[in-house]
Amino acid sequence: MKSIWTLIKIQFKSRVALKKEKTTRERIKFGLTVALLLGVFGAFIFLYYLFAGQFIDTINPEANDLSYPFLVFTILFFQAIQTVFLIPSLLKRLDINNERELLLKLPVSHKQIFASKVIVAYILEVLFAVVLLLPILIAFGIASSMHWGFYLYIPLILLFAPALPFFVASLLLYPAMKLVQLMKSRAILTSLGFLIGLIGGMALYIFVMNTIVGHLTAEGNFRLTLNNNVTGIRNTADLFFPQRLFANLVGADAITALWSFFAILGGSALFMALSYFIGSLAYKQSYQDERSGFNAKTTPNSFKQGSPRKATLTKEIKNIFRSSNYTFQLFLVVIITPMIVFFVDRISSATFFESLRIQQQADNAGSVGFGIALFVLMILIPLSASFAASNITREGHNVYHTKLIPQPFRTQILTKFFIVFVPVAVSAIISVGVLMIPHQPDPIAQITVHLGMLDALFLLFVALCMTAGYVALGTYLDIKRPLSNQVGEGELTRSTPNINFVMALGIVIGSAIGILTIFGNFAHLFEHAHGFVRFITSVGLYSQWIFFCFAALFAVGMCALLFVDGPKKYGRLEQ
Amino acid sequence: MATLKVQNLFKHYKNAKYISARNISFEVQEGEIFGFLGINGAGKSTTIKSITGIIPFTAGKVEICGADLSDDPMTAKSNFGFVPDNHAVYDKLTGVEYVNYLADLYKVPSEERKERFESLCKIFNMEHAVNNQIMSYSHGMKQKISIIGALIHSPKLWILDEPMVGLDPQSIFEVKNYMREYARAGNSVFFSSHNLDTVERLCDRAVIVHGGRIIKEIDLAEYRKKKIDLEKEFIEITQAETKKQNEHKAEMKKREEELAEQYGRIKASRMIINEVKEELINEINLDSDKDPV
Repeated sequence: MKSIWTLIKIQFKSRVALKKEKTTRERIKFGLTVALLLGVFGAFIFLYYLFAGQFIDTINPEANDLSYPFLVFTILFFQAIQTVFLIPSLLKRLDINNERELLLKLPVSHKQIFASKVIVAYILEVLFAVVLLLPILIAFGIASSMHWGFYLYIPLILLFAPALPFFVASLLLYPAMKLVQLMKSRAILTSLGFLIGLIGGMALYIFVMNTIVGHLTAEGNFRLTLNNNVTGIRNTADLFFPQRLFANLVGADAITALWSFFAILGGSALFMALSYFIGSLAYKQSYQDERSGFNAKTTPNSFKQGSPRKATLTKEIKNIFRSSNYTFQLFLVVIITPMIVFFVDRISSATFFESLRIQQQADNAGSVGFGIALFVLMILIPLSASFAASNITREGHNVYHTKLIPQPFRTQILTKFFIVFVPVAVSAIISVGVLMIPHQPDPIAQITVHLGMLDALFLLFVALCMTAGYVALGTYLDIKRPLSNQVGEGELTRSTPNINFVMALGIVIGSAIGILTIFGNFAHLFEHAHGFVRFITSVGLYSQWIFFCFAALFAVGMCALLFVDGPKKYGRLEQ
Repeated sequence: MATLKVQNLFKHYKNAKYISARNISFEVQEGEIFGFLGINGAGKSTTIKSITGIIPFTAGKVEICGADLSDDPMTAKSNFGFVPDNHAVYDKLTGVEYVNYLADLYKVPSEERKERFESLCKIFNMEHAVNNQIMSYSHGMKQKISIIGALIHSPKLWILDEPMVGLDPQSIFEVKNYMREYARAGNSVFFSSHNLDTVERLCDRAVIVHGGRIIKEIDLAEYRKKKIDLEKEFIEITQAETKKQNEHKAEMKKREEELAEQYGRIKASRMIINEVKEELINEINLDSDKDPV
């Protein structure tokens, strides 16, 4: 037992690396973070208080009060969220966490390690309940004017509510472990799956929001919608038996509350025992899997000689595509950029079709998509191109290879440049391509819009130049100051100062271009303006030419920096 | 003929308060196994990184099979294979992919690479794992695949940094045997170690480095003949040097403290770095005409 307690302490200490001495900057940062969190927490309680108020009816409680079902759904919602978060958390703790290797070196048994990990996991889930469920329950208590006894029950709810999610998560643990192993070797599939999930999620969200808004619009207000469905909501709440037990503690008569309490106690004990047993099986399997050596599916190679350039390119591609982390970092924004450009163009065309009609009558021009697409592209391109700012850092300890091999640094840098430039450029080309598809923003207005060829070429030129510029800048920055020693043999999973810099620069340039485009569009309204406004509108009028020149200069300048100074800096790199 | 010729090599890391390698000179001949000995922090890895081109050196000359590393890096790099001390290999690749990648870079013809690869895999008992991703390998297996990769182009010079660290006794035996075999075939092996037993039994010659300098050159054949205890000698020499070095460090620290009182910590630190740089420039000018060991 003493060993388990020591293991628990080690795990907590490794999580909370509290420094005794803090600098003033760290203290300010800590203070600001706490203030921000408290602010968010307060806002959350207030919003929830308003929301909970919609379900409570003290005037006609028999007919309309929904506080009991509300409590049931609150517990259900919390437990559902907790289950979703618990699966990856337990996976990390039991299967893919390096911490295990550290603990295995100590003179303790696997059972003791497992027991300590389960206890730590449960304590963390109770803390999760304190963070998420406690404000909700407090807000509910205030909104429904609960007596003080309600608040005494809250710790019980917080303590036992995670038991059921723990059980469900442990049931799903082993299949999830296998899925993770499969995903490790199928990085592209994983990223694709995630992307489909993301798009599906967005579609579902839009559908749900539309349905809710539709109901609200049809029925007047939310309370009325609830009143019209009281029986249905109550019957649905009755279906969730385990959650009802928690609601019974505070929302039922004394006898029901008492047997509910014992049922929670017994049920939680049973769930925890089962979770421990199932989890230990998964843990054992995970340990055996690791010792037997997990192998990703790869095609056995032939010994056919290839060119050195192709070899470097293939190595880079494999390093990215065999890591779901890197595939995701590079391709997420690359894939969604054309979609965002497409949707933004369609939405803006539909919104501004009237001005488009006037514009089309005036100079036979195409679409509002041009300005918006330019703005969206200028924001999204640096996001995907920022991946180049980890081109050297991603090498980790392997950076020595790049110095040893008989291949000029310039060639290696060129490969690293193209590996990011090509997908981002293809994404930009597709984005411009979708704008050229003619469509009718409004069937009544009878107009067809699309991006004209000249505008498309201009947009493409600017997008490709900016892509080249950002990729070159990112790579150059990473040559100057890589974080290889920090990455080591692992993968880069977080942002680096170089990545942040490229993204921040992208946002600044993108926003400046966006503002100038807006001024350009409305320049005719400020014809008689003076001073600064006059200056900005004048700049706006010539914005296209400014972007054209800026993009060309940016690309040439950054590429020159990368390919002229980069190899020298690379040679001087001391890793 | 010398496969590796190092002349007056100096290495000073940016903003360091000491010189990591000073006036290192030696030659490794064909068919020779050459040991590079020293305690931790003596400057072994820095010297090896400098002569392999992993880090730039401040002054000096490195020739590999007659090709100057600074003037003709591609030829120089083509002539050696390197095994690092950190077992770092591209772990997303399989063993075969990794070796093929290196073989492509060194332009090894298909037939040759296949034959060499299969033979090396057999020697190092790696046939069962070569189609698996390197991420599933143990430390020892990573070291072995790194060795196979370093030798796939059959370089004249094989450089290894602490090659026995993390290897099991069986693997150490395999590596040592192959080092002998490789040297017998007319190639050179240059490796760093603090395992004196290995060096004593394996090497023809060795040097001991301490505080970035070569403090002793050793003909191990002679030592074996005269039955001189390398371990005893190594301890005696390095202990005396460590004492001197610690005294020097204490002096430097004292001086920095004095300067800090006068000018503040940051300026004092800068002044010490500048003094080290000046010392370095003086030493480079003084030692540039000396012949290598």
